[in-house]
Amino acid sequence: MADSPDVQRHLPLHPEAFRILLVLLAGDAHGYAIVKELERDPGRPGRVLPANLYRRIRTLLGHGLIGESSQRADPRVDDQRRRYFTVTDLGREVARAEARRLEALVDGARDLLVP
Amino acid sequence: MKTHDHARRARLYRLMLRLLPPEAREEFGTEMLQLFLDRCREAEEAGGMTRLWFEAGWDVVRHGTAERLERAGGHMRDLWRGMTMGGWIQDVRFAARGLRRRPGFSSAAVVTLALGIGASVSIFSVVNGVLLTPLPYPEPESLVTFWSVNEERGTRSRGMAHPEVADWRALSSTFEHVAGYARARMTLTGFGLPEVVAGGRTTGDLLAVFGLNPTLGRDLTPEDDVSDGARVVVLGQGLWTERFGGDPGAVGRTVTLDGASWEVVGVAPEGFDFPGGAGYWVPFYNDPEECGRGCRIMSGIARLAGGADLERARRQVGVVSARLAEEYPDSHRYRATELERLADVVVADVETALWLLLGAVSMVLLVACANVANLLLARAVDRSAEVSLRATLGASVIRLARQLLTESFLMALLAGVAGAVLAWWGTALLMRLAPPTLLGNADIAMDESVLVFAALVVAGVTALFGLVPALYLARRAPADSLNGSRGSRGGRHTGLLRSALLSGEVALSLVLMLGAGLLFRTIGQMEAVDLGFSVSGVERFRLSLPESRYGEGPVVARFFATLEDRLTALPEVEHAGVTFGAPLESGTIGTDIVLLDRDPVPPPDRPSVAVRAVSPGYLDAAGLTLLQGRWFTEDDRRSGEPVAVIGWAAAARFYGDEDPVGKQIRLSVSWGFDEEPTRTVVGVVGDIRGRRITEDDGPAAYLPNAQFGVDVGIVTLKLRAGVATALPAARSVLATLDPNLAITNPETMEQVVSREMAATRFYMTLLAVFSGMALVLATVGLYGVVAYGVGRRTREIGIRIALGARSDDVTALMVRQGVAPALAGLCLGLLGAWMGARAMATLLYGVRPHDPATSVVATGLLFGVVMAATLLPARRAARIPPSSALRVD
Repeated sequence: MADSPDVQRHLPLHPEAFRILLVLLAGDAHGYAIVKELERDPGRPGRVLPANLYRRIRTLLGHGLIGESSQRADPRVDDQRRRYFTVTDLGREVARAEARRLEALVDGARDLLVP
Repeated sequence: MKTHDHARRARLYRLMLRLLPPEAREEFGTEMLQLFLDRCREAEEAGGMTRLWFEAGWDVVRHGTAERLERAGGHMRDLWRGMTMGGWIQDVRFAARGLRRRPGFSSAAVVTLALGIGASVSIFSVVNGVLLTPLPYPEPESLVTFWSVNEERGTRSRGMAHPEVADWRALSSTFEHVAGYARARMTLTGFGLPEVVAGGRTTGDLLAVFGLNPTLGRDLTPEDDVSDGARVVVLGQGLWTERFGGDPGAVGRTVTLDGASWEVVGVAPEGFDFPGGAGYWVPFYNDPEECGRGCRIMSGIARLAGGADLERARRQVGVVSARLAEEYPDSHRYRATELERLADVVVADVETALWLLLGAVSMVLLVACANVANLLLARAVDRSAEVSLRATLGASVIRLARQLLTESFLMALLAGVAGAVLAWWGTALLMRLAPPTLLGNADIAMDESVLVFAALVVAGVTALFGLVPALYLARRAPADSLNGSRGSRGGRHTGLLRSALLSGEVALSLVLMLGAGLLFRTIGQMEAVDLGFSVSGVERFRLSLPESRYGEGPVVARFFATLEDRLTALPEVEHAGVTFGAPLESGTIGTDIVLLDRDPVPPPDRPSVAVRAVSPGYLDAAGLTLLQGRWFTEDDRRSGEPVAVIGWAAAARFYGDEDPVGKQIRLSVSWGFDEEPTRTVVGVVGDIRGRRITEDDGPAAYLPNAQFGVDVGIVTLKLRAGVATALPAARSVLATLDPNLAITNPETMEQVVSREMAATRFYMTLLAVFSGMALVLATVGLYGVVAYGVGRRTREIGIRIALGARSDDVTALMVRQGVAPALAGLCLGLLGAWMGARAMATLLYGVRPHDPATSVVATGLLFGVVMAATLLPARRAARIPPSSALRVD
């Protein structure tokens, strides 16, 4: 299935942006939670720092792939003042298209590399 | 304590966040700070707080720069969008009119830039000719040279023994062709006056190695290079056209070299003169019995076989040299062979210096750009009211900025043209001043790559000095400029920018001054070196006796003894002497020495000495110092007791506190006589700087000419006081002894020493010129900034004075405006010089790259100039009468 031009425009995604989308697909989260989730990836070098994270978030927001969420977690377990982010429909489509793109890439590589 | 830490961290991180664009800060500043504090908490528990600060700093710098660049990219897109031909022409016309309207300003900017561009392009044309132009042979990257590495002593030389050529030829999958070569000098006769001509000796296949074919006849082959081979010669184009008029029938005819007849078998192609200006090539005729594997008298060169890369070739050569070390331990133990590309070897000595010069000249260009940017910025501020008016009348700010950029570009283009003319002249000047060691055979011309470089410089220069004011204007909202032309926020903003530019100028000037200072001190150190021989009033020339007529050693020795007697008898000459292996001249023999009063050592472990064959008169002629024992006399004949004199370093290293006089030694070199005999040390002389002024010579041994016999001699003459030269007299003496001999390389020792220092002097002169240019530009810039500040604050100064401020206070206030950025620049410059000093180390002698004295003097000097440049306008500010100051708008 061909992706719409709206989706195509955002491909390929920066790997860090793609991971942020994946984290948010699992549920709305604030910055610190996203960071913790990203750092669970064992292949990731070093820690995620503020300027890096919010540069990606600003880009994703600007492109309409994520939005701010009004939903808040239970005030007893989390800080009410933090800003939460959520994936938009477009973001979901783009993430799906990126996954397909990477899959095709890996398939191609496998054909060439695996004896 | 905890809260205190928390607040301090938050404050510091907020400060760091200022590196991000304001929008990013406004939108997510709080969140970023929150996240950072979260991470601090983690680090407090797990440790690694310092590391977190470093990482966070890098994170902000990296992403802040990236975001700003993305934004600037957006500006640039706006700038070019909607660009039509008509609009472009209109911009150019406006810009030209603008430049004409302010001839003083325009010509100052154009001249400044033209100087910077001219100097850069000149240096680049040398770099281009020497470093970037490939060698003029087919597939030059396949040409490799051999190095013989002595792993025990950690030394490396180009020496290769004759049998090794066959070893490497056997690696046919690695090397397509291999040749050994050495320089030759033979006297050509039969064409008028005798002339000594430089040539090459080869093991054959030399042209094939370079991928060339002879113009006529054939190349020398390995079959020619046998000890009893026929005398055959390949002529270079020069000899062929000069001596045979380019006659195709030259092949098969003969030429007389060193008194013998040689058959011409081929003519090399145009432009081929390897090694080092060779005009003909003859075989080695090596006798393996006489000169075997330990006799490394040639250099090796090879062409890699098609498809063989250097790394693979290195590995294979490594395997073979390990095998050779096992098979021939006497000559190959501790020896490894390495390969290096010919292109790298050719430029190795000058590469660092040339890149440094290019770096230095780029700094001058940067200073020039900063200066012009400063001028333009001042004008942009002054013009902001006009620009705002036009903006309110409907011109887009972007469009206005583009026009400013066009003006800058036009200026850079004019400067580029003027700079190209300057560069044409500068390159010619450089070629005249540069020492021959720097230029080599390089073909230096303003070719297309130089022109492309010049165009790139113009574009870069426009971007550097034009973008700053253009972006400044583009960022300003029109209303901002209309309400208040002085002391507005914009003024303060550009003040900061101008100060930053100024700091940069001062920093670059300091770096250049430090470089020039270090080289200046190096020259002082070189001049102060005790060379161990006399320089003033000493003259020398080279004489080689053709083997065909002088043959055996004793005949040669007798000839030189007679010559010495006749020369000493001349009224112009105080002392005359002959040596093989004169100081600062190629031609010393290095050999192993056996100390017979010590326990025997196997050959590879023996110490080595530099050997010089000398005559009895040489001690006084050259001005050596006899420290112990005696020098050679007429009685040290061939038939007498074999003797030697050793140098101070040799005496100290080999015998320590013992008296070396009377000790027995044997050298492994033999030259002219059948076997090197056991010699008795009869004296010790002071060491000399034989190879280079800056290099300790190590142990040396002197042998009497009569007992050694080399057919080449450097005749050294100590002139009587007041005599300028004895060459004409020496020539006529020589003519009476043998009219077929030619004197070569006549030179005074002063010339020799100054030749040795020529490269350093040249680099210093250039750096001094560059730092002078930078200093003048920076001073003018500084003066401009302070004078501009005074002009802008005249009213404020008037009020201050009217309210009772003393004139010293006003001066101090104004001086601070220039001194603060200058001090920042000095610190920055010291830091930069500190970090870059290592690059200069190879050019220095006797002075460390971080020499504190040079740093102090250069910094002090620059600071003095800075103070003078700021004091002048500041004093003027202090003398402003309040009445007139208050009248100013």
